[in-house]
Amino acid sequence: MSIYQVSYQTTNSYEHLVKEALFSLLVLPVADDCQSFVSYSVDCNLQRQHYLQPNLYGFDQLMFRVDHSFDQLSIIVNSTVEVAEINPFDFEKQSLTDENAMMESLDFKVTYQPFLFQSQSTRINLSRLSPEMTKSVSVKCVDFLQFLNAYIYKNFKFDDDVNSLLNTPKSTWEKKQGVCQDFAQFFIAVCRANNIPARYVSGYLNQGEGHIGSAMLHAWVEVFIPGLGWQGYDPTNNLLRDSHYIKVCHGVDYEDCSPIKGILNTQGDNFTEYKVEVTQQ
Amino acid sequence: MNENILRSYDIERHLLDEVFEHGGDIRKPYQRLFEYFNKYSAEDFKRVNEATKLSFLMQGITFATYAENPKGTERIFPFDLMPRVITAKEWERLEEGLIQRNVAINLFLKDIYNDKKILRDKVVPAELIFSSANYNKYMVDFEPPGGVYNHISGTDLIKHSDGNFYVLEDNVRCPSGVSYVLSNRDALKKALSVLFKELKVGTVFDYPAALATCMHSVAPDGVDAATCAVLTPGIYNSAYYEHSFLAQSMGLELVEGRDLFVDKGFLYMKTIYGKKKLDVLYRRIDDEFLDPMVFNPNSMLGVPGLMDVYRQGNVSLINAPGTGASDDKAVYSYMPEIIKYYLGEDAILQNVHTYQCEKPAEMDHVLNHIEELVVKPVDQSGGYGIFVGNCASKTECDEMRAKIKSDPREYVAQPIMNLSSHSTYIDETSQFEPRHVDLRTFTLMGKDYQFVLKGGLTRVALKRGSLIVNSSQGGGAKDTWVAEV
Repeated sequence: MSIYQVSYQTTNSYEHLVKEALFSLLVLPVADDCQSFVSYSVDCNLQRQHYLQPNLYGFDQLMFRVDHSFDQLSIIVNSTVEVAEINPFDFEKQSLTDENAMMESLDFKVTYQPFLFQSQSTRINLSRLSPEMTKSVSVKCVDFLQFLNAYIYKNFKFDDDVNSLLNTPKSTWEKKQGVCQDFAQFFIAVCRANNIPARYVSGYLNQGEGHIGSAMLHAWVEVFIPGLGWQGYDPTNNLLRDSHYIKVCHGVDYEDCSPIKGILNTQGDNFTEYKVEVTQQ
Repeated sequence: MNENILRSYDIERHLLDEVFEHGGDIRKPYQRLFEYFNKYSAEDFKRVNEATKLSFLMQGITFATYAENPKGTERIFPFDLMPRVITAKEWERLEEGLIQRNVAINLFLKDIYNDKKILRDKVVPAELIFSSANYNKYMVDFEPPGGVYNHISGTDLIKHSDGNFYVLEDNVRCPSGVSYVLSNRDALKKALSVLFKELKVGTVFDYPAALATCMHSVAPDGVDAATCAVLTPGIYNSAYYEHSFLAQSMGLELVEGRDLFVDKGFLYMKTIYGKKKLDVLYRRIDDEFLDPMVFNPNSMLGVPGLMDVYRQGNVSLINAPGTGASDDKAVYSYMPEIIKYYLGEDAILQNVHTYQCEKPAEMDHVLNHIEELVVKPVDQSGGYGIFVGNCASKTECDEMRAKIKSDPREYVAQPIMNLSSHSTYIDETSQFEPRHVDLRTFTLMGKDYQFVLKGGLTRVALKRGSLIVNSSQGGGAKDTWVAEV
């Protein structure tokens, strides 16, 4: 078991006074089979009391409503989380025939529809990609996913200069570069186009292990493998989720998981900075 | 009736005229009405008609159209003194059919957002629902307070030449038009008060009270005396008059998004006495504008954070978001199966036969017979984008074919149904002429509560021969009487 201290800090400055605002932060580690959430504390410069509000998938959002004028918001969220040892290679055996039959069934498609649905940022036309991006019925999911994970890691360049919010799986494929969220959304797009349920995961990565993308919130993917359940894949590092990964939430795509959202009554520009620190005890 | 008014009334013999038999005799339900009108001279009739219309303008009962008029200039709703009459007996059956259909739609919505049994049982193709732009992920695995989705349903009916009413389309998002029913009635009651008593015309003035009852019945759990409000996008909306009318007649606050906020899991209204918790919100803005936090972030019409509060069960929205997944025109064609599936009954109200362009064989038929069909985009409302085959040029037909081929899921087609026509007083000619009409009905459903507005809004296509009756496309209206005749 590993115990981590996670610190998420953000500072937002506004050109003009903000008169009213609602902020929602999806930054708290989730309690699930692999993690237990120990404690957290929140510090906000506006002296506003926060509250927790579950989102669409039940993940707790830290919410702040501000009803007086301000031009800067700084929030520090510290949390402690225990992550169990995860052996990602602990896969059961499931025959290829059973797997194919299950994936072909209408029940499967209906049950997993939310994570088979190709949203704007997880949509791709397989016929425009190279043929190995299409899973053959003679290949098991586990093997295809392993291949896809490695393929992205080897062929796509990590480049944090890219304005990731404008990227689509198609443009990521064409440019062969991007950041962790682009790789995750591309991975998801390929899975869904192959009828494999996949969801976007946002969380933290234990720094100090030489992992890519660790100074920010990280993005990886959970894939539903028939007979095995949801398994974590990180195409940015060509790894499976292990005890270095601290999950915050999942959703259809980045939209569902953005760490901070605010709807403000103001005009003009705003400037955002944020920082993440993960330390192992 | 004075001969002048009817001097050249031209019964279109291939169509059903609701007022006249083919031979020219007045149908029974209208006989007393005509006897009464006969007391007026043509001059007097014109004067009464004018005076009635003026009362609309005085009351500010107006709307704005955007199609031909981007500035949205306010107009009065075209209206005439001649009511449409439906017999009480005929209405009884319509009412039964409307409740049956809308109860089934409610069960369908609950199912497609939760267990999805009807999709697993292949009664409705899963792909049809999941590919709908109105299938809202914020509604998945969630049941609204009271289990009600389509609290207000506007079912559009037409009377075909066989004399039966058919369902033309379902509207279960934010159906509008009910305020015109009430104000038309108001105007006509002043002009024809004697007849109302004599023919025992069913009242429509119970609608606001029924809507309020419906809203209270779906208050969140644990709320005894719910605070309700009407949410409008504001004065520039074409139906603003209706929003203010409904709020006023129910005694509720009319609010805009900027008057509301969420905090600690509840919805509040800003008042001069401080914040007040809101429990039930009749929202007259589209789903995509409801909550900028999760839908369109640039829209200021809604309330940030509203959807989370809704999913927590702390506020009731009327109608529920995501209801558009059930009233699109492709789903419409499955309504008989949907009714059978949930209620084990045959549909009381028939559908107009609908070709689904996503089915290759049906698409071929549509492409080959486009001149005889009406083609409609599946997810548009308000009469926008409708293509009428027999009125289109060859180029327009070819363009339509190309559109269908490029996006078959987006279109359905129906035979050109001859909407019945109805005598309508035409100002320009100062006489009665036949005009096509349909009927928008209003059904309310709350928790263990059902109500159908007696009659509804008869919409009139004011251009002779035109089949498009929507107010946004320049249609007019008639008072509709459910009468013992």
